[in-house]
Amino acid sequence: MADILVEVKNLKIHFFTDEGVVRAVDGVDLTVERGKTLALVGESGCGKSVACRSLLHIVHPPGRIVSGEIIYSQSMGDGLYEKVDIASLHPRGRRIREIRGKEIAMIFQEPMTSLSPMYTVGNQIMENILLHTTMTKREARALTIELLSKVGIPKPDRLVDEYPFRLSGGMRQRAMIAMALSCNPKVLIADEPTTALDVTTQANILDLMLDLQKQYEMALLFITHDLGVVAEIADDVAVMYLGRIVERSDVDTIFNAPRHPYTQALLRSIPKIAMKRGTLDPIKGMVPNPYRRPGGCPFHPRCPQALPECRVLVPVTTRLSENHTVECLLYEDLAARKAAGQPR
Amino acid sequence: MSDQLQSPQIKDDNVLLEVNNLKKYFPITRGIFARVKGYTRAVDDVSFFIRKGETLGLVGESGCGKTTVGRCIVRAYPPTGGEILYRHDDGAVVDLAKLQGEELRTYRKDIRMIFQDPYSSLNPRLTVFDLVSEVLKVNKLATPAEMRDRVEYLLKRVGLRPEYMQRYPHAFSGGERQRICIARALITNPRLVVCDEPVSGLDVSIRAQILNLLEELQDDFALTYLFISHDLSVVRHICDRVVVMYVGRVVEVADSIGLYVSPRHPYTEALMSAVPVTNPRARRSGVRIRLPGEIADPSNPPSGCYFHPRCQYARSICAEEEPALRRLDGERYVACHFAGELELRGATMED
Repeated sequence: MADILVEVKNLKIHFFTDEGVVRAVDGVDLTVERGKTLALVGESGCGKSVACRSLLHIVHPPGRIVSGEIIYSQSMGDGLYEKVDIASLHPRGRRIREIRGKEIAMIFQEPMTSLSPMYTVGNQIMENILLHTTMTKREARALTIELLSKVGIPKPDRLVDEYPFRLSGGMRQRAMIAMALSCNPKVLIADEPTTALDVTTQANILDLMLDLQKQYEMALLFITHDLGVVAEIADDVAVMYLGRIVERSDVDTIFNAPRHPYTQALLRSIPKIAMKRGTLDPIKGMVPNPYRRPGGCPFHPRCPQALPECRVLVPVTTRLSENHTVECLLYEDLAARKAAGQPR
Repeated sequence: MSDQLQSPQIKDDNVLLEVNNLKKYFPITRGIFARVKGYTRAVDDVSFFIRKGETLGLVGESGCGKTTVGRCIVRAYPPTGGEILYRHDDGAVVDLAKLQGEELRTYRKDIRMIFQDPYSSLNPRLTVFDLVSEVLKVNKLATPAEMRDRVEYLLKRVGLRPEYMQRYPHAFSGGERQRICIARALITNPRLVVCDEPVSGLDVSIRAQILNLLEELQDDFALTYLFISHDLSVVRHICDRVVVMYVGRVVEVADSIGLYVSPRHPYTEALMSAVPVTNPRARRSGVRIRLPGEIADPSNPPSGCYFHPRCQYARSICAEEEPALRRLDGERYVACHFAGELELRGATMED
């Protein structure tokens, strides 16, 4: 029984623009496990969306997967698994199309723009079913109605023939979820699925996703910048900064014993309900220009605990405990590194 | 309510702005002759007041009319009915809702607005200097030399380099653009600033910087804020008192601690329980209230209390009779038939 469904190894996605190369994803390792929720956290521009889209091999030019592997364990029945390297597949080939939308599905950030205005909601959901299964149109339509009622859309037999503009934001997001679930995916990627929604709707959608996850034993890869949402739903958390995963652990450790200065600063900068009015502790400066990446540790210009070495040495992944890794010189054995003669 | 024939008055001397029974209806038209077939009651009978120097939060889900209230106060929209009483420095009170055109000009500099989206609210063809100084120029409030000094001072004050004055907005990030918007709002020395979701589009680390800046500026320039937001933890952080709206109506007004610790309206309770708690250990501690259905349609609201179809405490009277906004104790106003009897839970407090 393979519990690790997706294993990303040293993934690099670079964007080759006229102004220079943007290293959007620069050596990312991730594992997505069956029935678990991994939250990928970071500020805008840190590369989290690009990294996740690459799991479906949707990387638009000038972006390109430069190196690394995305190993997907595809079930062949009878407890057998075949390992596929998604990164090496042709982005428009037959193999990736078998996986995309069927095995790995995605919910996009903006339900307003990611549904086509020209087709009815039902049509768009049925398209995925007809593409990946041998169902007839009538069966697909029945399944679509069933899915719509499962995600909590009232009067699904009527809404199935409506165009997306007739639906509210929350309803559209539900329709997107129904579409993503239509082929019982093993891995569901949700790219900021609740960012554009109100808190009450957000709470309903999160509950729905967790229920469905339990029901289908899906692995959930949840991309967000909202730490409150992370605390509510995640099992594991990976914190991303400028294309690198700077800290990774279980959700309790990340919130209660974070080690990387960036994670600590992020947690300090959010207003909390229980907090009295007073000054927040923001992270100084802002995410650097992607064309002018700082040398050494990419976080050092904003880091309150930066050492002189941080400007030159690139930190490597340090394992603090079984499931807690961090990329920071504070936790590295600097003397050993100098002795080993690694200037970079 | 106040006598229509006499000049308007505000009873409490500390109150800067009093909104009484404000209404804003948008006509729904149909056909090529734009026949009016109904009205969307975006704001329907809203009353509240803002004290001098305080930050009043205005919260609610999208479509509840909170932005429309803000826009009526800056008179971007002419209200359909009601009063917006504004107190001058010298104590004189005017009703902004009744003023027209030129008469409003002096108030345009007293009451300023910061918009939600710093990407669409700055004209890409104007330099930062032009953007910030535009009001001064239009209203002939300063000579060019004074203008330059003042823009320079304000840019420095909001944390931007004055050397960047001649740049265009595209050269700035979201957080910096929001700083430009703040400088533009403060250039006329306003007394009241309506902040319409000023931090919703920003990243967490930048959001904290902007919130701190807004608080600092409030102390330095003796500003009063009307802070419109749907983010309840931000509202809790920055606001002294909070008004909760639902489908164009006020359902609860309270000081911000009271509202979060002991809400008295079932809708407020549901809002509070929906706020994600930033501590995974507190995850299972509270049972969430799930609101069934969707927010009501303001052009075709339900009978009685607008919230009753989604309210778990609703009884027969709720569908028949509209609850009035009544004072419970001290600063607390609630529009619910059972506000006094219900035992409601507040937000889950981490730590």
